[in-house]
Amino acid sequence: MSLNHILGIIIITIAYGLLWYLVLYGRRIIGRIDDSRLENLREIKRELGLNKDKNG
Amino acid sequence: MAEIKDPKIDIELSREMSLFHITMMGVGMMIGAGVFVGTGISIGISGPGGILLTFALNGLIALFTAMSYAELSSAIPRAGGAYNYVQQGFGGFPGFLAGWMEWFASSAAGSLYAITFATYILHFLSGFEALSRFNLESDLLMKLVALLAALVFIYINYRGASETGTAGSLMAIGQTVTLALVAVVGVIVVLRNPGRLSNFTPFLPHGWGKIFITMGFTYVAFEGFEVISQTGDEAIDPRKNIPKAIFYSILIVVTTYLAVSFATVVGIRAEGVPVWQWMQERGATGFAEAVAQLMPMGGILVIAAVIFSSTSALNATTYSATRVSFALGRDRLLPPAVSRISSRTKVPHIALLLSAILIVGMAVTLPIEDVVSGASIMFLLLFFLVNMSAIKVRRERGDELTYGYVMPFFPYIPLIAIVLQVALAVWLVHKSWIAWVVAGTWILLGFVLYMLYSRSRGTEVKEKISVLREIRELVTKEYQIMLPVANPENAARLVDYAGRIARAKDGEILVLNMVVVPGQMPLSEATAFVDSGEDAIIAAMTNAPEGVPVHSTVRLGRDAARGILSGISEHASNLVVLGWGGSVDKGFALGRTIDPVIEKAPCDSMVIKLNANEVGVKPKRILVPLTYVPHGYLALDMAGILADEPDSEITIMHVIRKEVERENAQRNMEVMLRLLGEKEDRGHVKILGPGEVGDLIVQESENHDLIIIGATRESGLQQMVFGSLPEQIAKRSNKTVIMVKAYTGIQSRLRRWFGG
Repeated sequence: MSLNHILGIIIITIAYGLLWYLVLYGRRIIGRIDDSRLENLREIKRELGLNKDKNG
Repeated sequence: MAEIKDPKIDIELSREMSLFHITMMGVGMMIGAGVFVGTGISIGISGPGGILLTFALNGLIALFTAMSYAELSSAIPRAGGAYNYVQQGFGGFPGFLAGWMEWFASSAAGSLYAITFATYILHFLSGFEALSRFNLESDLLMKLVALLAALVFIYINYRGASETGTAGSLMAIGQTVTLALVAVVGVIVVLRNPGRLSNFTPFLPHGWGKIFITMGFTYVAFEGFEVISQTGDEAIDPRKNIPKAIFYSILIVVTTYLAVSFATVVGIRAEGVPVWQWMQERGATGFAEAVAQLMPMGGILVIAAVIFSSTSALNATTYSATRVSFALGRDRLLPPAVSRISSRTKVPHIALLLSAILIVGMAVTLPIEDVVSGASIMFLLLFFLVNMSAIKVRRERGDELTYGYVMPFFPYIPLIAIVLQVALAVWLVHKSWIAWVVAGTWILLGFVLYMLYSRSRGTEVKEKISVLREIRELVTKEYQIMLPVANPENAARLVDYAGRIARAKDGEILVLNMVVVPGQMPLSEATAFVDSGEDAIIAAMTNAPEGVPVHSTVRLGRDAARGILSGISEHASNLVVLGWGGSVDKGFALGRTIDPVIEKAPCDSMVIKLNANEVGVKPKRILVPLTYVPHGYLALDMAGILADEPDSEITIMHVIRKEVERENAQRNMEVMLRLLGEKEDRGHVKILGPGEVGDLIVQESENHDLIIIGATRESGLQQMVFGSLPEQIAKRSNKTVIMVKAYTGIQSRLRRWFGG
C-alpha cells in the first residue's frame, strides 16, 4: 500500500464522515425548530446557541 | 399553504409533494447521466483512487452549497431556486446573471441527458449480431438520436404532459436500487476474491492534480438540490421538508456514488492493463462495460437504468430551463414575449422554444465531454452566486425572515464553498477549453443584453417575499363538506345538496375550484389561470342555502385529483361531494379525476349524477337500495337528511336471491329504518326478487326521483371505484343518483409512503 493509498483513504474517510456529521447536525436543527414558537432568525439562533456572529 | 391575491376568494397552492417525493426527485436528477457517463471518463483521467476522492470531496463541497440552499429555501420557500435567491440577495445584474446562467446550466444538463440517452441506446443496439455491420456508434448517428430524443421530450413538454410525482419517485428508486445492487455485488466480489483490490494500484496514476479536473467535471452530478429548491410552491411543509430533502438526497447520492465507483473498479478484469487505461479506452460507456464484467446481465441492467434515468432527467431539465426563462421574461429581464403562455396548452411556449434551441444546439454541436464541462462550469458559477446570496440575505434581512434551518459555522461554510467552486470551475479549463469559451460567451452575451435591455426594463422582485403569507384558517365549524366545482350550472345544483347536508350536520361548505397548471409554470405564477374557475365558485356561493357558511378557494396544482385529495387532508374535510356528468373517461370507472378521489379520499365521499330534467332539489320519493355496511349506513343517513320535504318518503329496498330469504330480509330491513333517525316514520321497506339486482333497482327507480346507493365493496382496482352495482345503476338510471362511500380507515403505510 503506497502513501497515496493511505492519504487517499484518510481523506475519503474524513470527507465522508464530515458529510454525515453535517447532515445529522442539520437534521437536528430542523427538528428543533418549532414554527409556533420561533418567529425569526434571532430566536432560532439563541435557541441553538449559534448567536456568535454580530447579527445574532 | 399560501394566499396570493384576493382575500375573498382564497388562492391556494396545492402542496402535493411529500418529503419522500422531493427527496427522490433530487436523487433522480443526480443519479442520472453524471454518474453513468462521469465515472468511466473520470477513472480514465484521475485513476481508480481518484474517482473515490472525487466523489467524496465533491459531495462535501456540494453539501456546503446545499446548506446555503437549505437555509435560503427554508426562509424563502417559493419556486425559482437559484434565480430567486440571488434576486432576493442582490437583485440587479447578479440577479439577472443567476437566471441567465441557470437557464444555460439547465439546458446544458438537458443536452447531456439527450447525448447520454443516445450514446447508451446505440451502445446497447451495437451488441446485437444483426446490427454489427452498421457503425452504430458513429458520432453522426449519436447526434441524430440525441436530437430526436430531445425533440420528443420538448414536444411532450409542449403538450403540457407531466410525469406524476409518484412515477418519478419510482423511477428514482429504480435507479438507486440498480446502483445499490451493483455496489453490493462489488463488495461480494471483493470478499470472495480480495485480489481484485489490486485494481486500485496505481491509486492516482497521474497525481493529485487530476482530481481537481474530475471534481469539476463531475460536479454536474450533484446539482439535484437545485431542483428540490424549485419545489417551494409544491412541497408539503416546505420550511422543514426542503432542507431535509436536500440533505437526505446528498447523503444518498454520495454514498451511492462511492459504493458504485468502488464496485466499478473492482469489477474490471483488465488482463494486465491498468484500470485507468482500460477505462480511458472506453470513455462514456466504460461504466456499463465494467458492470457487465462485474455481474451477469450487468450491462443490460445498467443500460436500462441509464435510458430510464436520462429520459426522466431530460424531461425535468427541460422543465427547469423553461421555468427560469419564463421567470426572466415575467420580470422583464428578457422581452415579455418569453413569458407568453399558450392559450391552448397553458405552457409558456416561447420560453420552451428558446430552451429547446439551446438544448438541441448544444447536443448537436458539442462533444459529450464539453457539454458535461459546460454544465458543470455554469452550475459552479451559479452556486458561487447562491452562496454569496446566503451570506447577504442572512446579514441584511435575517431578522425579518422566518427560517426553518440555519447553517452552522456561518459565514465560513459558504465562503469555503465559494473559493472551492471558483477554483474547480477555473481548473476545468484543463479539461475543456471549449466549454469555457462557450460559457464565457454566454456570460458576456448576458452582460451585453443586461446593459442594453434588461437594466432599464427589469422589475423589482424583492417585495414578492411578503406576498406568500400563510393562509388564514378556513375551518370554523366541526363538520366540513368539500365541494370541488368546475361547471357553473352543475355547481349551483350540487351546492344545494351539499348545503342541506351541511345544515343538518351544523357544518360548513368549502367550494373548491382546481386549476391544473403545467409543470413548466411555477404554481405561484399561475394566477392568470384563476379567472377560468371563478364562475363556478360564484355560482356555487350564490346558490348555497341560507344560513350555511360557505368558503371558497381556487387551488393551483399539477393534477386535479391529487389537488383535491391534498385539499381534503389540509382542510380536514369530513365529506367530499363530486358531480358526475354521466360520461366515462376511457380506462376509468367514472372519470380520471373522480376515480382517484373516491378511492383515496381520507373522508366520506359522495358522487352525484344529476338528472338533466331535475330543477331544484326537492326529492319526494327517495330509494335506498341497501348495500354493504358501512356504506349502506351512510346512504341511509344521507337519505334521512335529504328527505326534508313535508311529504318526502324513503324506500329501503333489498333484493333477495331466494324466496326463503324474504321473511328474514324484511325483519332486518325494518331494523335499518331506525338509522333514518327522526325521519324513521317516513321510511318503509320493500323486498324484491328473486331476480337480477341491477335490473330490479333500475326498474324500481322509475317510481322514485332520487336514488342513494352505498358502495358495494372495497375498492382497489380502477374499475371498482364504488363496486359494479352503484356504477351500473348510475349509468343506467335516468334519475338523480347519489353514490356514497364511507371512509373506512387509514390507508396502508406503504400506500401512504408512495402516494404521499
